Amino acid sequence: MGKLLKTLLTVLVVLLSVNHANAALTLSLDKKMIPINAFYKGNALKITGTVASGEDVVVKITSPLENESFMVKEKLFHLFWMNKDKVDVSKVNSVYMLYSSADIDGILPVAERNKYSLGYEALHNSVGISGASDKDALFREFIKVKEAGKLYSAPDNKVGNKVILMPLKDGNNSFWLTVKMPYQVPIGRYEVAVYAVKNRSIVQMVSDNVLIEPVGVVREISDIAMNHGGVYGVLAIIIALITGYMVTPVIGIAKRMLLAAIMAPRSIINAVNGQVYPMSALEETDQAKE
Amino acid sequence: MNIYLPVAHTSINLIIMLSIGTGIGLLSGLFGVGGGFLITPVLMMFGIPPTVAAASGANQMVAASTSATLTHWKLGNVDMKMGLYLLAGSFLGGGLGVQVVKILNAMGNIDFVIKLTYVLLPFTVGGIMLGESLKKKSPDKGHEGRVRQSACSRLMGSLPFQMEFAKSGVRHSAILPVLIGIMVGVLAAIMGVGGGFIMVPIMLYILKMPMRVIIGTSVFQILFTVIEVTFLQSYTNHSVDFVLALVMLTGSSIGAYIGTMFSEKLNTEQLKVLLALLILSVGVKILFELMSKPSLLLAYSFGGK
Repeated sequence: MGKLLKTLLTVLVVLLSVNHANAALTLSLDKKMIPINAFYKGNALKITGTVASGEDVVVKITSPLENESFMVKEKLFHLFWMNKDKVDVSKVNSVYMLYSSADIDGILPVAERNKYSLGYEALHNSVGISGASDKDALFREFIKVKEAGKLYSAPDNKVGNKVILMPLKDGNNSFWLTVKMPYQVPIGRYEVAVYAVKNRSIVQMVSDNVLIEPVGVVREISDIAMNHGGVYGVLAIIIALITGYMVTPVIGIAKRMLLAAIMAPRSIINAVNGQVYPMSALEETDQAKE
Repeated sequence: MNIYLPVAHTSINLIIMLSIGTGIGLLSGLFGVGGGFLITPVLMMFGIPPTVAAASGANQMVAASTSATLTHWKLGNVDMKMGLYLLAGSFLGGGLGVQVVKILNAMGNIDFVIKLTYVLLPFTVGGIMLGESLKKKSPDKGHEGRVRQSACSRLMGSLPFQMEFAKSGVRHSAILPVLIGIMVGVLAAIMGVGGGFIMVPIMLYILKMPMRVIIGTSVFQILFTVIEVTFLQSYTNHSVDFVLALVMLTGSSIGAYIGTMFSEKLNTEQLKVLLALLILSVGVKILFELMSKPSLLLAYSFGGK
């Protein structure tokens, strides 16, 4: 009986501690939608929340899994570099950003990183590559392309000190991270997943979504260009024709205004000196030149 | 200040792009060329995808050539008959060129073809122009040119459908302007240029048209070619970004005006040599890019992000 009671008490303590940990991890995003407007140049996403004391935090921002195709550049005829063979990368995130409160290699073993796809090494193990003989080399090039396009960030898993932890009065920690979402990140819905790490394993995970989508005039133009190419083409031509028609008169007006602005002080000086310098004379000179 | 391009899906600095447009306009005003052949490679340098750069370049040329055509039309410098034959060819060429772009885009090699065209043509045209300018200083080489010219003239004279082009004061086969038009139309689609820098030397050295009519007829034909290319690129490849075209046009209009004022004070032969060197330097730069190992050995295939 005593042994049973002791076991029940142990289970209760474990359950309570797990429950405590579960209750501690929270996530909050400062925005659910990042609008792409006419002056868009990327946007900052503030990710905040709480985590139990003694736990580390890993934040992962990803797009849904999809398949992507690439062309491999090779030197042809020992002369020009051009696209040659096509390779397919399957089950891959087109956008992948990873941040943590400590060096991920130090806080998580390989098996745990692979399980949750945390870090490039884990990604390498999960994606499918077809059409390439050297898959390791191709994956390295794939990461270089993604990083150059600012779509991937998790350099060598050494991403510590990005997520800031601050102690709270209730014994938990608050975490805080600002991610610059560059303009290169395409339109779509992205998952923000936060992992609580304790004793080299992930003890809890919460997630939320953020949507990047065009609004206003950008959305209208993009929609017409993609879905009504003929109408868009006619509009683009009409706008260009009107602009071309207006260029010469507008420059003529601007030139006259500029000349008037330059000559005005001289007119005033001449007027003060008792001389008259009519502006119409300027226009006549201008017309004679034309 | 940045603006977002809704078709190129990229953000550009408005001041930088306006300055580039002004710079290109300045050069086109100085040298009397449309500037289209400079716009596409410069846009590519600033991260605009080549297909969007070429298509938007054509859209920008619609506005630029509208202004020029109106001016030349009023001055009576347009050979309507020659222009219409050229136009018939360039319409065919434009349609053909857009399909070529579509196929190459699907194959993933459009970037290479656009860049290669920007190497081959500047070298050919720039080389011819530089050669012509330098030849004037050495009259001994004139004989060789005359022999080549007569062979070319004999070939043109043997073509069927010979007719008078009264405004230009020349007699040619109708096939000739149609073929030239096809070539310019294909180039307009692939390179995003009006084709003036190809058309003007051809009209001058092959069709033997007077300079006064050449410019007017060239811009008249270019206007309709770039209208067709803009429409087809929008309809087929969805690659025209008219926001980008408008930004470049604003800058280039201001630049062209300033350039034209300066050009009146400069020596014509010096300008020709400078233009030839400019065209050649564009070709050298792109050739260097094609021959150097790229920093990224992968490129997104058609349909990729």
